[in-house]
Amino acid sequence: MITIFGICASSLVGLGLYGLIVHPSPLRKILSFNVLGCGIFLLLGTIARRGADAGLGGDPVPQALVITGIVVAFSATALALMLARSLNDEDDQ
Amino acid sequence: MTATTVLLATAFGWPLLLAFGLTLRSLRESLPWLLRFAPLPALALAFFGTYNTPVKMASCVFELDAAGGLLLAAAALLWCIAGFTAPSYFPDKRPGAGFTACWLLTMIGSFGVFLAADLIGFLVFYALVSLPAYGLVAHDKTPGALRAGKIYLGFALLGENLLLPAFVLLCIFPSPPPIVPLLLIAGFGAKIALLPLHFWMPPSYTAAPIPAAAVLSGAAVKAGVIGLLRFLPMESTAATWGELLVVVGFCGAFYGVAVGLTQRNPKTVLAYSSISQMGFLAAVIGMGISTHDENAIFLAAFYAAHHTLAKGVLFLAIGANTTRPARIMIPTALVGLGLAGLPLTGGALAKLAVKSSFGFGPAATLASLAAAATAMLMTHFLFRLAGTQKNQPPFRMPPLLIGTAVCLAFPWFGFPLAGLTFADIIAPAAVGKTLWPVLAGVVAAFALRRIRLPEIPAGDILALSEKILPSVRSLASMIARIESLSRRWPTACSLVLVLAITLALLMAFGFSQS
Amino acid sequence: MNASALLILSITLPIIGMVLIIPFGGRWARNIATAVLILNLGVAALITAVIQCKRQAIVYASGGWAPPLGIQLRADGLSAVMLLTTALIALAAAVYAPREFSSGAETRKSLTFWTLLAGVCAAMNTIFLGNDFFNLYVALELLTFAAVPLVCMSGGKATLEAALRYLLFALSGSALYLLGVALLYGACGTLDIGGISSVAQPGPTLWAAIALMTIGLAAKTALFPLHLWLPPAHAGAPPVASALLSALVVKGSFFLAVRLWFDAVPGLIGAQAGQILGIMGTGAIVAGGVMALRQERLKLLIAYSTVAQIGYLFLMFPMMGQPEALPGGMFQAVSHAFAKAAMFMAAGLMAEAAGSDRLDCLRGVGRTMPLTACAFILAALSLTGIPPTGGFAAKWLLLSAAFSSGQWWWALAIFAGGLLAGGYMFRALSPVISNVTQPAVKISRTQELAILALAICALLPGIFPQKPLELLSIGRPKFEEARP
Repeated sequence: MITIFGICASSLVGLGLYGLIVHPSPLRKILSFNVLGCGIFLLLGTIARRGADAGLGGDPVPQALVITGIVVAFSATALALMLARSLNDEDDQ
Repeated sequence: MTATTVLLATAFGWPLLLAFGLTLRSLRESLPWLLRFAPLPALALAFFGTYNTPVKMASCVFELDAAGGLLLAAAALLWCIAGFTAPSYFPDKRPGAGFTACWLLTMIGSFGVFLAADLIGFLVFYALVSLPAYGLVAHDKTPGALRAGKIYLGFALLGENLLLPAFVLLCIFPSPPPIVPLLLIAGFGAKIALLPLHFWMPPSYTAAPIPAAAVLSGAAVKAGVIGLLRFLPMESTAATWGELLVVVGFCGAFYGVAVGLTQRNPKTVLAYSSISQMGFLAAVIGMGISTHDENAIFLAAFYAAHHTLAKGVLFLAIGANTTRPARIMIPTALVGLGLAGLPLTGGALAKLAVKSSFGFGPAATLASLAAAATAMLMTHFLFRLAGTQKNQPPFRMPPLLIGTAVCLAFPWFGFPLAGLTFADIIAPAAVGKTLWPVLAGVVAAFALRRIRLPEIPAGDILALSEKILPSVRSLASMIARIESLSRRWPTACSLVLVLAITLALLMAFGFSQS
Repeated sequence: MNASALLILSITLPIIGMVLIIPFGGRWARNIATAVLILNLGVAALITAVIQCKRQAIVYASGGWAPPLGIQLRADGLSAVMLLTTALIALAAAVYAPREFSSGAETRKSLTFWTLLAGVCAAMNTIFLGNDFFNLYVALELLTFAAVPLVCMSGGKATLEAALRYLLFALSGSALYLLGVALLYGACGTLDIGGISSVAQPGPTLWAAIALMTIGLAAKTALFPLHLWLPPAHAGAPPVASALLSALVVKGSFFLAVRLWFDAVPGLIGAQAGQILGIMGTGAIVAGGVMALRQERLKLLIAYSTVAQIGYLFLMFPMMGQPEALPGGMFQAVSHAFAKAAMFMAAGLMAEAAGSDRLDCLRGVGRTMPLTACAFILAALSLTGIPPTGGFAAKWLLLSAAFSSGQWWWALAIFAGGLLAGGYMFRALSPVISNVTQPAVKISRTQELAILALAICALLPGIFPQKPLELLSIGRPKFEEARP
């Protein structure tokens, strides 16, 4: 099970990186960044499961990291979207 | 606090104070007039300071030794004389604040290099004597002056960057690796215009205002000389380096004369004479190193001190103007031919002093030939001086005459230290030995007058070096192309991945090795 | 008062400032920010003094929980030096800025600027004090979010594009860093720097983690060839913002790389790995120098000189084993920070006076503002590494490390860099000091003095190298006394 999650996580990371490299449009880059982020969070989840002590569902530290990471990624996305939108507005004028 | 400490502090503090005075509008007007007094504490230090006792000040260590003290005295005298004449060179007798500031900073540096006794302190003063001089060289802001300034600054930076690794190596290794002497010779060689690093000198001295050219060619250049004397220890440097210096030095000594003879601008002629003289001096130092003769340090400094004053006075003579040319030509001839060793002048003492370094072999013959060549170039200079229209505002004569007197007399105070006796100097054999090259040179110069030589552009191989500029440019544009490729988004992002993978693999590889 | 409370103050003070600026706003924004930055300087000075007296690092375990459960803050010599640098530069920026971001009527621009200034300060302080790699990730992102809007403050399409490019590339970098952190946690089971250094075992996971984190940080530091975002971002921002970005923001991610390599896993990286960072640094020195020589606009020239100067910072990694390497890099970081801040601010004043920052329009501008021209020259000397400036001390230490580790080839990079820096700085200086008469302009003495103070700070590490050298060594076990 852990292996499958690990493979999923690495695929997401790979997809995200690929998208970041090849897509010229800012919106797609932002989306790729989010895919990459999801991959990393999944990886953290996998690490949490792998490092679980006996009797626990998972190691709580990576889970805490995921929550914080999601908040950071969310703000980053918001900022990037705002910039992309202002850029778009400038283009329209 | 001893008197020496006080003198040291004022030697640097007083010119620095004057430089700060430039920020005050009320002082700015009268400051150029004060330039002549700026070197006085340094002069007093050279005469009254305690020798061979290190003084710690701030984070630097200073020490007066015989070689440094002699050069300090000569340099201070020249800065003083040139400071007298400097304001009158400018319209309204008022050089700009920039010129005055550069003058004072270069002066501080020029004193500091003779006094600094630690590596970093020396480097600080060396930078001070090299870089602000850009403002002196490029002062006239004509295209020629700006170009000369650029070349000058390029060489100053080259010297700095060659010396920095050499000094670091000197600092961290008790016995420095063999690259160090080479770096030192190249670094200081760029300052004293050793062949083939000489071609900045003619354009710079030609472009600089006359008083600036006088102090640069007289005093500032000696920073390179003292550097060679201090950091290439005569007793422990490999003899090969000494031989290299001798060969390069003599090449420069004759090359400078050969190209100098084709020049028509008296300032350029003097610049080539400097190349020649510094080449000769490098040969003296080289002989000292190859024979591990520690005496050569003082002898070379003795010769350099005389050159400081002589070259400065000769430059000032270009700016002097009187209704009776004889009044200027006679002192100039005495100083100029003195440089070649005219008997009983200070120059003859300097020549006699370094003569012992060359022994009796081919080097001694070359040294005599170099003296003859100098006499020839100096005679050529006198012709050019007489034949040049003067359009600069004239200098007053008294400082020039004082300068001549000082230059002729100064070595007479030092000669016992150089191991000479009065009998040595006036012995007919000695007089004859120094006289024949001078006579031969003067005669040759008169003979050469009949031949019209093609004028080689000032800076000779500078023209050649500009030929390689296109290839430098194409290298730069290649780098620029690579850079702009790396600034494309897909390239940069892929590079991130490639670099991360390479780094990980290298870590694994490195760890498996160890 | 407990000394460790100082660490909390250092992080929370600027944040409190940010929070206060938003509701009070208007004419208060500037006063609040300035007050906070003055206090911040005081706190940084106190931290330095305490470290200096106790000769050991200050440690604070948040909530009383020791690692690996809790998150630790730790201030050693490195942190103290960087805290002081940041506090001084941020304060100078606050002194310089008011004319541009007028304190009169509230504008969105001025409100943004003062908030972000405090934000940059808070983020930098957190980076210097953090001792946990995930905590440091959050600080790093905070820094990016404060820095990106600074880029596009003047508005316009070009700056928006530059800001977006910067943000996206920085996000890619921090994503790699986070990936590395995840792997590091997987390998070590802790993210505390001290913890990692005691439990980490060499292995593929660890190497992958370090490689990802390092390259992610290099991308955020704009190390060649990952510098695509820096020139447009730093050249397009308002001068005071450029000063903050070039002087401070790039040092944040660099500092993390130092923590990672020198503190967390010093013995576990093979000797070859550092070489690649050194090669990238050399590439930066050469490419940045050549590009700076080719620029026609002063601000772009200075931005490319930042690219080149960042190269020197990474020369310390291949010579990690030498005691001079770390101080050499830190001296470079500090003196570059001061010199570059002074230079960007001076460029702003000069461009304002001349009406443009094109080099050929700036002729003679130094005559109308001699103090600024002086500061500009001093900063240029430090960046070129002329003795006795801080840049010179840095080069000296790096060269010592290079020679005593036998890696003489880095001396060639420093040699080439010295010549190129001399060239591009001369290119920037020669119009400024030329004697064309420019129409006199009204200049603010306060702004000029702020710039001059920064330029003088860039000289100090060169004139008095001993104190910072001692300070840098405090709290660092594997550090021996380095030569001056």
